[in-house]
Amino acid sequence: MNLQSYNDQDLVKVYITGDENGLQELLRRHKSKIYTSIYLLVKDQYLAEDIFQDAFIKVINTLRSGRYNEEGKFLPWVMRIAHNLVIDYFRKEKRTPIITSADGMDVFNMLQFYDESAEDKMLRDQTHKDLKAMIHLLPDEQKEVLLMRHYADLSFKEIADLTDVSINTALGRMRYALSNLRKMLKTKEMTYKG
Amino acid sequence: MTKTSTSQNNVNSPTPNMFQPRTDIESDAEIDLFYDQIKGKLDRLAKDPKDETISKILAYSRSL
Repeated sequence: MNLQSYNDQDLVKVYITGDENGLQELLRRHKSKIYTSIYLLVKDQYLAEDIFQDAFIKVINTLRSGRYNEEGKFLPWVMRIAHNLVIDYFRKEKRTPIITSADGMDVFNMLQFYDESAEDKMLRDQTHKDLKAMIHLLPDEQKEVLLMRHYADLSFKEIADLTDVSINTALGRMRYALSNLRKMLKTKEMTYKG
Repeated sequence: MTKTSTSQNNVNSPTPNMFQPRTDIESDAEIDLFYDQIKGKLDRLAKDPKDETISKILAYSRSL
């Protein structure tokens, strides 16, 4: 059975009726979106893995108990669960997480680019690190919208529902996030040139 | 003798800077263009969870 052509809701039904392949396909389809959003919020790979796992355990428990009623909205629903787990974590910790540089397992850093010069690689690595650091510097509410929009591919309506704000506020936060990133990148470029 | 004066109402008078372009405000087009420019860079920040994490999730599901 080729499940790749199924929509999320159909995959949920496949899974609920006892076929594990439904869950496997949902994970394959959405793991990167969900994990990246968590990772860029908590800034720690191991914590992100834990939260990702906890989110899916809640998903599984809800689906198996027959309490799932978010027709056709699987991704925003999982994102809401993950988002709440991130909020719970920060509430418990009552602190802003430190930026960990112990990123030895970073997929990006593990990739080999044989066809570029050492200088190009250094520049690319630097840009990569800069952009990640700049995202971390954004105010939480702007970062959240940027991650949900870009990585999780949620609509502004879905983001607004998830974060309990109006669509206009969500749109405004995205705009501010981009505007702030633009300013930070400009400043960085000026530093390089200066 | 008391001097009286009437204050000049400047509300509708153009101030020297009023017609100068406001460079501090970005247009929607500028922001959209910027977003298009950095989309690729943002995409390259995307990460997958470890295979081990996925395996644990699937194992949990199978155990129920």
